[in-house]
Amino acid sequence: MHTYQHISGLSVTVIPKPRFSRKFAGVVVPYGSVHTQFRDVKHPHEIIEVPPGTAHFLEHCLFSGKTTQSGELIRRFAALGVEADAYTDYGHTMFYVLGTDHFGEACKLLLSTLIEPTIGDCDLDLQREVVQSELNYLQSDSQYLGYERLMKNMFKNHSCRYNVNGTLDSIGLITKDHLAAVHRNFYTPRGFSIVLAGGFDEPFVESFLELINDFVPNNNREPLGEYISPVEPRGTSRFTDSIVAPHLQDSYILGFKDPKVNGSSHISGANLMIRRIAGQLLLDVIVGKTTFLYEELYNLGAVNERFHYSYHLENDCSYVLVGGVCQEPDRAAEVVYNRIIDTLRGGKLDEDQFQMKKRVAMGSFIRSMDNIMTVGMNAAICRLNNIDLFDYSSAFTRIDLSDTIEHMNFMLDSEAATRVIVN
Amino acid sequence: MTTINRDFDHLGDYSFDVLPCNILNEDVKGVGPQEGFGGVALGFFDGVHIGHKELLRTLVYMCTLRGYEPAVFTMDRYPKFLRGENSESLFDGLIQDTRWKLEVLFELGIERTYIQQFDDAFSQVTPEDFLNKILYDKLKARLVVVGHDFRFGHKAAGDVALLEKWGKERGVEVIVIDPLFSNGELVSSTIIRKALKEGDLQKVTRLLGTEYSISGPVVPGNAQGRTVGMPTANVRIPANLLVPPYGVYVTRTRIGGKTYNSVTNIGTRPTVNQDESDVLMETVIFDYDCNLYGIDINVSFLHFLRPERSFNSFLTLTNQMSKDMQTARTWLDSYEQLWKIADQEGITTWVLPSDRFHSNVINVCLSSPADPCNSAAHAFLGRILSSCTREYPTKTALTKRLDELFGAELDVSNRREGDWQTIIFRASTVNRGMDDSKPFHSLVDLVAQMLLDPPLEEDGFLVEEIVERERLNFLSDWNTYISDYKNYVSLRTRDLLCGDQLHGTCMIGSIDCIASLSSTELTRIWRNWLKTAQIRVFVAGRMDTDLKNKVSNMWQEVSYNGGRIRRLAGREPSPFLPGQPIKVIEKAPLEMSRIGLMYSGLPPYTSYRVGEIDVLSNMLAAAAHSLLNDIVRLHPEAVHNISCRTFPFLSCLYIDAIVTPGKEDEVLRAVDRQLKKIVTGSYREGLFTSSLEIIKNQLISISDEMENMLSFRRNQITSGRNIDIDGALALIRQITPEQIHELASRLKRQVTYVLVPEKEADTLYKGQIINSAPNKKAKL
Repeated sequence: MHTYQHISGLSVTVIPKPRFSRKFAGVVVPYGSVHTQFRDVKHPHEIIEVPPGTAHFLEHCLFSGKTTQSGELIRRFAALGVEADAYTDYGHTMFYVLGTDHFGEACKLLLSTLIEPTIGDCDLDLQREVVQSELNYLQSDSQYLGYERLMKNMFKNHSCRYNVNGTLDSIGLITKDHLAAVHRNFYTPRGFSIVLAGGFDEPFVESFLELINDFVPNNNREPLGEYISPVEPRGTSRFTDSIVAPHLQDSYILGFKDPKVNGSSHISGANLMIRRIAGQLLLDVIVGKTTFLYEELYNLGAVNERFHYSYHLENDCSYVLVGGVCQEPDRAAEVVYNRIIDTLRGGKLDEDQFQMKKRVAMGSFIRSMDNIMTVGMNAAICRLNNIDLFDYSSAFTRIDLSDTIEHMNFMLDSEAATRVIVN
Repeated sequence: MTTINRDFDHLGDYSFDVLPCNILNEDVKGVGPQEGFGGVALGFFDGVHIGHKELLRTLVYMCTLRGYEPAVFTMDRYPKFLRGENSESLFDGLIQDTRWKLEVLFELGIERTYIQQFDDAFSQVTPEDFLNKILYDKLKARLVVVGHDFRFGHKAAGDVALLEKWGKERGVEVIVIDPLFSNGELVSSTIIRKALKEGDLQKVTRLLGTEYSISGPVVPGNAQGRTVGMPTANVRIPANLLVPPYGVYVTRTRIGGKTYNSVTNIGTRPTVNQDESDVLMETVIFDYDCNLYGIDINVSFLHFLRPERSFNSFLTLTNQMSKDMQTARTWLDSYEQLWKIADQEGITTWVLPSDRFHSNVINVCLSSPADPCNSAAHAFLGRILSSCTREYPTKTALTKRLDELFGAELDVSNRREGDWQTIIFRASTVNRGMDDSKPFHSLVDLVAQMLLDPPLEEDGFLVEEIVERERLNFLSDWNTYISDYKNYVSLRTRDLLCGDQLHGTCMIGSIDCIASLSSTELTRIWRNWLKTAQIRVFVAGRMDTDLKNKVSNMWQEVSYNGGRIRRLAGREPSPFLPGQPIKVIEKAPLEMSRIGLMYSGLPPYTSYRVGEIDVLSNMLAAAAHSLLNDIVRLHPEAVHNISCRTFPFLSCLYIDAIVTPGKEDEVLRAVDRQLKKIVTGSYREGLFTSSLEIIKNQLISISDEMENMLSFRRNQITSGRNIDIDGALALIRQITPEQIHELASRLKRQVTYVLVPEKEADTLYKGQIINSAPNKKAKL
């Protein structure tokens, strides 16, 4: 694996995988759905506020290209036989292409799309309809409804309370000026992390680096806009909530907010990655498939493929979600909540189990190296956090149970917990 | 059966009739199917290449539909008229001998082969007499399948046009198979012979759809190889067989039900033998040392290592042979092709070696005919067996064991393949742990325990508590699955298409059966299932001899009483015949309307033209640039999402959509318009080439993921095609837009299913009675 740094700040990481046919090129932009308030790079005294969902909306507009009636850009990628797609997350947006032939041309098209966009030609109304249609569809999912309500109860000011796509109302407020402001502030090469993974040869890598030089002049050192974290109260707005939806499946979702992670906590880089891994491992030990809690829920018929748990950690917000679909959601929610508290409070965490979960995570990491797209995406996220993919694997050795428990004991704070029952 | 010529006695058990030259003589009786009518494929079928297979599988498929006995009518020698003027360049040996041909025909599902003795007398038979007196009267053929260039009768006067005309007159169905092209060339025995003479094994394999092989009994040699620890199995090559260039090859040797890696020399052995006419095939079989004299072996040729040469001494020769064996082993480690290592009483084991990946995977597939109760029991058993073993009797204990194996994955899935059901147990983990352990080897042991050694009560039945726990969770999972209306609509549309046919059996059988099966019944069914199901084991990843032995020997404890199912592609699963088109509107408690459309008209699942289906699907809906997605892009207020998939075993295409209530008819019209664009070729420029490019790239990409490679090859075997990625690519490259237009023109909508929101049904369909959609959930 090699990383090249352009003078502008843009980085290119190359992970060759000889004897593989596919090639992946991913560009990570450090702008995500939570970045709804930022200081304008051109006018630092001005604070720009954009509606929730702007990051995702911009992603749509960039890929729809000119005259969306024809969806020209999508067809241009298709004509090259490559798969092109993008996604938006809280803290970043990723654009990628995946294919075998005509890959150089595909990369060129991708870079020009991001660096020289045609937002002005984008039919905003049409894109609005598309996104609103996606949001409408989600309303028929019980777990989504629960999640949407929970996030609003858990966070008052932070934009993570909104779905990455925004809301039906907020989408209607996005203008071309908003999109242009975001693009100007964050879609600068300085912030780009590019990853190439797959069956590349040296000549291709060289030509790609030359392509970067063509697109990004050496004197391009535009700074990025400065994200402004909102002030977030410590607790949640309510401990329990319910949604009546008799036409949907019964479900429950619990949320635990970490008040210690906020605008002044400055968690980033390797530290952030390690804590993410550690937090998820701890959840595996508390609610994962080898736990008594899981067995109890399984015997009650309260666990199925829609049972989920996850730990989310960004620079300025952090929370845990646990939820599922079952016949008695109130009871399941109560059992899950009490067991989590009981386990953490009683110090009933098994060191051997924790080490075993690390073993599982290491196995999963090794296996992920077999998939070009996964390798590429993981490497891109690591680069965004200024670490290398292979540093990620060494993170496991730096994780220990007692530190992890200390970081995660926010789950004991009932004022920072909340739940939603849908039935 | 009329046997005239004892030369065919060595052909063993394959069902064949040798037809005498004077077949038109009225004294010749007893030929043809004993009951009913027959379907007959006509041709010489030397090599039985993929073009022949397309023809033969079509025959078997159609015969299954019609209830005919599938048969082949062929000649005992290469007919003179096929030689043409330049006979020397066109023909100088057969690709395969008759025995091998019969074996291949048998495996394709041909139940009877008529071998016509061909001499000057028979060559005088007129085309009309051949059709009327032999085909119609004696062979009772009511279905005839031929290639596009088939000729017959005296001086090859008969052709396809005559055959078709005759068929119409006599009420005989005649199917003419279009030629198959691969990498720009017509697939033909002539091309294959040329490639074989040139030693281009890759091309030969691609066009045959399998490796070129030579079979025969092992004969004694001069035993010199044994003296240096390299005993060889020697086979004489029949004089009429075309052989590849003399030299040393990487090969595989099948002995009985097992296959071994090997190295083979074809030639005259100049170092030790001066007789240039004495051509022998000598094979050193790796990891095998038994007396094979008189035993039949089959040697498949994979890769050419070097030409034959004469060495100064036997010692130098021996030294070179050791190097050849080492080179062969290294080459085989990186040869990523699926091959059968064992076939033991109907349980087949396949391996796909690869040294590129960090993990290995095993799939154990149990297939049996679908029926609501048995399918339910098998699906339920899959659930129970994958949740625990006797050694790890709870789900938690089993999961902990999987965690120890570096987070091994273990799951079970239910697949519906026409009127068959397949339960697939899948397990995967890293092939080497960070502690240098071999977790995958242990995982294979665990899979074997799971299937063969579940927790049992003292009375020998499955533990009741486990059965009840899994029943609850299985039904709960099912309710979650069916609550997703995408799944509901897909199932309901399929129900409406299949009616009472077993093809419509749900992949988990009857929910009522799952709810009521007792542990006693389940135990009995489990034991019977292991004895009778078609069992195929597939393993991919890094291989060593230990691992191969482990997977081959997994089933030693399973007793066998001769009742194991043998499944033949084209016959099983059986072809599906749709009924009359129907439209059904129902209501359910949902927010957006759903549409499910089923179109018949795709080629049989055995066809090599499956690539055309993939291109058509892509043009329709599989990508953002596709025709149906244009509807979404341009009318998001009417339709949220459209997708398309195929049901290969039903030969059907399925389209589903999420639609704004009230816009259902508008969307249906839009779908019809988009489909028509493909039929008439009036879609935008570049759509066909983009789709072809995407499908090609998707095929190439399959080799980048081990499980996808395995899944691709497994599906090839199930469908009977058994081609690799290169072979599939070579076929895809020949596809023309006209072929896609023609394919689209054969699509016929069989089912239109519309599911509307309950609260809107009365408003949208005033005056009509709209029934509620049947409840498919289980009562818990």
